[in-house]
Amino acid sequence: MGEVAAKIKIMPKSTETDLDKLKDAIKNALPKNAILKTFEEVPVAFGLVSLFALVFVGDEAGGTEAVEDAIGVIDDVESVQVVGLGRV
Amino acid sequence: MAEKTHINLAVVGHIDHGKSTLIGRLLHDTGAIEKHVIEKYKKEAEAKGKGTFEFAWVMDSLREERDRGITIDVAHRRFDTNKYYFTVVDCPGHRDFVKNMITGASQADAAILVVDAKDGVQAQTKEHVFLSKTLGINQMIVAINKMDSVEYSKDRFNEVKKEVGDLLKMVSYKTDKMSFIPVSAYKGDNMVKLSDNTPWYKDLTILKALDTIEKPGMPVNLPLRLPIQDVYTISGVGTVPVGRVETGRMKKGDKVIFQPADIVGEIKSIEMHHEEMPEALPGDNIGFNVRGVARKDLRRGDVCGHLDTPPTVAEEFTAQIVILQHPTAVTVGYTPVFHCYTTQVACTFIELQKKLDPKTGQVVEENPTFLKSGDAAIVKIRPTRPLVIERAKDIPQLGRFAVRDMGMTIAAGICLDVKKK
Repeated sequence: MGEVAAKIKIMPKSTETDLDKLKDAIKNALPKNAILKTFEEVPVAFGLVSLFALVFVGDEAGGTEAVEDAIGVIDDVESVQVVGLGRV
Repeated sequence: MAEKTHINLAVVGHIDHGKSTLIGRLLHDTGAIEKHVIEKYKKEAEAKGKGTFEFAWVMDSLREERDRGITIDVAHRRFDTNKYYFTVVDCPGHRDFVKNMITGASQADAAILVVDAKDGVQAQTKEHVFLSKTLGINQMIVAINKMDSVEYSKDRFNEVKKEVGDLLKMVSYKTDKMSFIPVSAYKGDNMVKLSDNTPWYKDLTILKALDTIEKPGMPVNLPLRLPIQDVYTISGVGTVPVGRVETGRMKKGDKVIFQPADIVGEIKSIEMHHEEMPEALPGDNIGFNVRGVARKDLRRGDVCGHLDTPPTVAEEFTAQIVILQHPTAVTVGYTPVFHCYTTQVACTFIELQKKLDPKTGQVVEENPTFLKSGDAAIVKIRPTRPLVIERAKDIPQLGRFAVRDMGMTIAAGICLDVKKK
């Protein structure tokens, strides 16, 4: 378990989204077998700030799907995309 | 001194064929692992009477070390050769990660394919070779690993070399220009220097082969393609689509068209990292303000291009695919979801044209009635709603896709030809 590191880009709903609250919501939403390692805020454009999460998941069936789904349904989230992937 | 050129390297191959050991060996032998870390483990190993297993001990312990000193790019480890600095990614083995590698993960410039000298070509070897080609990785080094387990046999090396070569040729890799290197990553043979254990091999070591890689150019001369990830309305600014430039360049003032939305607009301004820029290039993650377009006109998966070279909307397309896993069989009428850049569209298999032999690339069956796990094939696909897709040989970044159904990655493929809508 936890042998694949996934760098996940999360776009908030708007420039007004509270990113600290969003981080908490992500922490609470993650499936049990996913391990959240760190967050990073990266400015995009015109006041929009994206959030990158580093999450470890198992190298097994389902891949990052459960993590993407869990984050994707959070209200303040516009989109979720895995932008980096590698075995630890 | 000027910074060396950076190369993104993927290490691929069947599980247990020694990918992570090979990466560990490269890091260890190129001095990428800090001296004090190695010294520490060396001492620990000696204290426990395991001095001769220093390398293995370092390998075992590194994982914990990495786990503590985590960064956002944890999976990307760096080492240097004479010419380049590499960041190396150990590709996940499970098929369900294929979707991420096709649609989102950053592109590797080159790959090392690791094949066990004893086992030869295995299921994931085939998948990873096909996937590498699908991802547009054209430079590959083949490491025939665990040569120590076959007594460094030249004959066995040549057998496996032929087997891997046939597989690579099937997906049109130019094998005569590739290095096939007999190694033992665990023992260190032919990794950074030629080994006495293989006196019959006088060609490149892994390290030397890595220096023969050419840095691929940015696809800046291709037509502009920017698949939209999200669209925002920002007060005081207007409509702001965000996404990554895949090919070409976008400049302020450009007249653009979004397909399949079929909406035309003009680029008013471009920002990256909150800074305005006059033009954006491949790899840039940008937001741009576009005149003449409302937020409701656009959706994720629309592709922005220039008016004179608009994105291609497909009525149907022909594709080469490999079936990675399917509980039964793929037949005409099957309609799973195709994941392509930032979009997801259900598409129907309307013709199974040819089944290919995964070892030789020869057509083994015309118009097969079904395809099952492990089959490679040429098929015709019809999207259930308008979809932009390009011929992989024209714009590779927009010509590849992953096929998903029932929570599994069923297949991966590239677009060979498009019947325009």
